[in-house]
Amino acid sequence: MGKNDVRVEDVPDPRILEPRDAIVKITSTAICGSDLHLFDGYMPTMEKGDILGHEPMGEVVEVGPAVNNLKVGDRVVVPFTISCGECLFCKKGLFSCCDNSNPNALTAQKIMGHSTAGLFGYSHLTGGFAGGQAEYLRVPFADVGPLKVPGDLTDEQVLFLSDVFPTGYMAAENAEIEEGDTVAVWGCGPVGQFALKTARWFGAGKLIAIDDVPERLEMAKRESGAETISFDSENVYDRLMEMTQGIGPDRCIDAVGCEALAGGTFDGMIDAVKTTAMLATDRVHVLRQAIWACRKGGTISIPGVYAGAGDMIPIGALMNKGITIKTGQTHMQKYMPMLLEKIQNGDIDPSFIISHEVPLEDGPMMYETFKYKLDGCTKVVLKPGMQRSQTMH
Amino acid sequence: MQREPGGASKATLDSVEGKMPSGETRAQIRSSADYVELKYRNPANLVAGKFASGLALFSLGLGLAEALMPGKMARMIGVNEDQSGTIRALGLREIGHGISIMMSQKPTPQLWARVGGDAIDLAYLGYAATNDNANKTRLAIAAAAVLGATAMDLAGARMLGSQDWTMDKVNPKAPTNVGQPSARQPVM
Repeated sequence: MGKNDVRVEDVPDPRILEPRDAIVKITSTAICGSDLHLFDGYMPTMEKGDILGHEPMGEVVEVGPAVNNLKVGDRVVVPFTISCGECLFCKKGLFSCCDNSNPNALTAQKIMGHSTAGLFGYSHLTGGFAGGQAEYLRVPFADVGPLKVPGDLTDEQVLFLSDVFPTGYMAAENAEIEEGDTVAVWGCGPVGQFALKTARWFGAGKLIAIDDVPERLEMAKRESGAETISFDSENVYDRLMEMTQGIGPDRCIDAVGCEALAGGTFDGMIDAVKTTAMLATDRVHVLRQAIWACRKGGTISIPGVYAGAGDMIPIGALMNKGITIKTGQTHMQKYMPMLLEKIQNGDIDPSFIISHEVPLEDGPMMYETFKYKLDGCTKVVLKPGMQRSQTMH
Repeated sequence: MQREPGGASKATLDSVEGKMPSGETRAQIRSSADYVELKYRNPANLVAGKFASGLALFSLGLGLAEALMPGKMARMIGVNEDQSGTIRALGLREIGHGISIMMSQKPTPQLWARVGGDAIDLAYLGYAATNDNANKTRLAIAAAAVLGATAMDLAGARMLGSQDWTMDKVNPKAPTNVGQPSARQPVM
């Protein structure tokens, strides 16, 4: 009922509705940081009874007649974006901009100017598709989306191909990192962690991780060799200038999005008041900070999800400093096969970000745990069919 | 692995208003496959939409008759043919109602405008009845017909007003989201 109310209920099974559908029995599914935007009521057009979840994987149990590349029994990771594979945008590799996968396209068009791809479990603005935090999932355009994964890799190793791993990778790619660049990443949740790790693949020199959760900063240091800034005790801009001899980071990655915490800053407080009073939709504190801190001629990459309109963006600083911004929902199908190969080659084991593995029934409790970063929570994997005695932390 | 057809699966949901009371009355459905649940294409919306279309066609038909054959229409309702100008004007208004309903995806205000038009018609018939030359029986029948139309217009306006239509059209190439599982559907 309204915000902050997630429950586990029995619902009718999904079924094949169209020839290009498949039904996947979910074996693992994760809670994403962007699910928290839904949980906290930031995304419009959510309705009671909507099923959440956009990071699923499992076993194909049924396929529609037009799906020729999957068969019953195949083990697949399902990307969070739904793409037709045939429109101009899909053909250009811009899968998250698909023209044909959002049945509520005109609603999205009214808000964004154009509709983008349908997403699993992410409000009626993106199609109202039932999400993957469930026992079964209907996958439209199943001949384009799901990626078959080999049996010798565990769910934990491949699950994050569904969203956060490609998202972090694309964030690093969008940052236009050159050899030796200093890269600052705001937000050390899973996307930020993957952005930090993959920034090295592009030749990044110094990595700077910014967050306020000690476990996340520790993970960034341990997994990626990043230097850290805790924004609740340090002035981020001042520290970044110190760490970069006053130039500022070459590349900045905003892996936070619309629910930025302000750390007691004036502009952050204005954001908080406005969003509480429903006078604004997004808290853009991190984006402002990135614009101020980024070096002249640098690049800001924004994987963080924003919902509506941001206020008081320093467009003057952005323009006069010649900063490039690259952003977007992840073009999943473009990156998934290549990143699976990285996993298979041993270049990365994405399971490092998991902190909790619990039965699906514990989902509501884990939303709270994840939201408030309790119990050292960094990433929650829900396992349909898991018994409580098997819970892993 | 096979799942049981028509079975239930668990899902995490946002904002369910408690469990469904066991005594709750629901429309008869044979199986979960029959239950078309989607806010924008649910049967209630389709019924309301079809009802409004029917009223629009009726408006158009009546309006054309009044505008093109005002004399005949005047005699039919029991007034003199010198009322043709007024009848024609009423007909043009009816045509306007019909077109405005047809042009709108959710014509709630347009149906309320029809109710207003019915009030004008009734007022005109009441005024016409004060004329000694008017055929009071035919006027009474015409008034009864207008009251019947008013009842239909009111029902249609209320039906549309109670529906939550926040979407105008669907992308025809997009996958359907009709018939998806959600907590709004009963588990069979």
